[in-house]
Amino acid sequence: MKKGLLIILVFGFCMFSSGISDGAEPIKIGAIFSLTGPGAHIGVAQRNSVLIAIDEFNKKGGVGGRPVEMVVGDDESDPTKAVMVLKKMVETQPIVALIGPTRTDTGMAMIPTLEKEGIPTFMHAGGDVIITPVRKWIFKSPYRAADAMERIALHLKKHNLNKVGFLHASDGFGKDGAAIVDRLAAKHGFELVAKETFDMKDVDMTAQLTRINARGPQAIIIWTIGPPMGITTKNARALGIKVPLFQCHGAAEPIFFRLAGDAAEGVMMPSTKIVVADKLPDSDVQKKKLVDYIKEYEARFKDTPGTMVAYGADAAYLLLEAIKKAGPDRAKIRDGLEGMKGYVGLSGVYNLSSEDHTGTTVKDIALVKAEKGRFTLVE
Amino acid sequence: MGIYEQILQFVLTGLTIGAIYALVALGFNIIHNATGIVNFVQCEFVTLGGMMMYTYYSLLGIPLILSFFLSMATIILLGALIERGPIRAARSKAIIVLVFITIGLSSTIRGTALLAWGPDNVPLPSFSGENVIRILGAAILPQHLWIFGITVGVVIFLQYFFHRTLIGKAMRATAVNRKAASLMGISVNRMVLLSFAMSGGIGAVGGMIIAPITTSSYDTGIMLALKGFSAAILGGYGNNAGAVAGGLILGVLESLGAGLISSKFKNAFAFLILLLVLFFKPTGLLGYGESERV
Repeated sequence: MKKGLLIILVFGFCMFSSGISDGAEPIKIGAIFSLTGPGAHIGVAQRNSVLIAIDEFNKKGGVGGRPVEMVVGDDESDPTKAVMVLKKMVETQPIVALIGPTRTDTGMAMIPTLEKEGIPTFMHAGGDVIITPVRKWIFKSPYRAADAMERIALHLKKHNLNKVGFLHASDGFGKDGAAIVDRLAAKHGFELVAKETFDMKDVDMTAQLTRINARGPQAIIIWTIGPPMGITTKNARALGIKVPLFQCHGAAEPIFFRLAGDAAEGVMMPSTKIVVADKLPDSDVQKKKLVDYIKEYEARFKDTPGTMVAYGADAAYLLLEAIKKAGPDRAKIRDGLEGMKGYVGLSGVYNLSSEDHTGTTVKDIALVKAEKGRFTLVE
Repeated sequence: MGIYEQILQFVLTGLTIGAIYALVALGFNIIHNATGIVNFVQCEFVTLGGMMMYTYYSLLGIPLILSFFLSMATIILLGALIERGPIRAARSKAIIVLVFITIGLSSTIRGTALLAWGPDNVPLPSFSGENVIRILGAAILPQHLWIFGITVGVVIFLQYFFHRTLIGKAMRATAVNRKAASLMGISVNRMVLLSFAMSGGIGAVGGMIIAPITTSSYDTGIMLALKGFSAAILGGYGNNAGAVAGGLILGVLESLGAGLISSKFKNAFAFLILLLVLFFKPTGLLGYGESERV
């Protein structure tokens, strides 16, 4: 059934993008997202964001008249499926580069194949393990998790909140965050009073939050994506926890309000500026780009873009830029990516190099707060 | 929060989640007793309960209470259709064949749900607000009371139905011995049909009452069904009192394990207890074992 759905999807998108080509043979890039499963709300938005970038690129003439075509696969948020989808794609399609996948787990599972085949890949995964150590062919567009958490730590320091509780998913992304929070606690001198974990498919995290709350934290950081963002927030509010709650850099999404309901009010999170674009000063270098992009996204998909759309679009724009300069040559595309400097994207200003395969810094990150169904800029 | 308040909190939370496990376990039992099979579509009954309620309430704008009963009716109908269609039409009535039919149906329904509703989780409103209720220092939501109340209601209804009504007694007779029951003039086919319909209804109720807390999606039923199945085994497969006890015990142990020992072993803890019980009493806590059912 799912395989059938996948084939329909792939066909659908092939037809979708082949409408643009005028006979010139398209250059194919692979794109693997979590279109179903717990990462679906991110994967679908990222696929949309990449579609916009590719169409825009093809309208401007593509690579010397040759359009770029996206071959889409769904990894179902599952690492094993991700590798299967990737291997099938590599064997059946002449892809020059890859965009995605959505999650840290699926990304890590795909890395051995990607490195062996030598496919330049721009991932959307949040976890830092993807790019530490730096791997030859792997880049990622979302902020480093360490930078995102540093953004939270700076806020905690400023407001003198020294006792922190940490709750994280037991998947790759959550574990990545758990390792980072230890380092940051040592660096910024805050005390980690409790560190608890849950499974991505769990339906209740009250026990963990009760345990954290009993240790008297002054703030609680929750590190997960997907439905648990809502459940943890609801559980915390139901327990009467009043201290500031922080979610990760993947939470500033319209779906957060649907998942958390009224409990969303006041939750803070590091995010790209895309969710607060209208509140940015005109002097901000990203403002115009963001506002234009949001207009296009809303018109085409009838949906408000969240922070994941910005990461998704940047991965696509950077990769397309490299393909345009290098042509359909995997090694040259990879080298071109490392040479990208000062690229103003939706998430920040990217400076990629051979040591840095993410390219953004903590300065690019906004801290936003959920207020009355919208995100507002905290600082 | 003192240690006693914490323990109370763990127990209360465990009981509410355990109540859902119990409902799912009851659904498994009813079909098992009528047909001897494990019905994998039980996951989808739970999922569809939440998704149908979302459809009726949020998409069609039907009042909450009416949506509740409408979605229950829809899933009852679906349960009946499954029995009337694939299960009855199967050439072979071997248990393994019927089980595989339910596995196939389960993926088909899940795939269809994915196409119909998309992959996102959808919210449902709480039945009566989200004002926290404090009980001796522990905090619970009104929805938790609903979950517990409705589960108790379902259990009382089933108890009454199986022990006080003629048709309920007929279903039990079928469970004990199909052939003898049919010789006594009980329509076994009708009892099987009824068991699928009832399982559907109970599964749907489970899915609907938990959705306001967890949100609902095309695959929410899987984890709940897995735990519900464990609860059924823990209590003694086929035994309804065992299903309720198994569900509540599993829920409370999970919660206590996560809260007092370590959240890393939350799921492992519950399954470890299950293994221990099966090791020392293979028929489950309240099970009689096959030998006594001759």
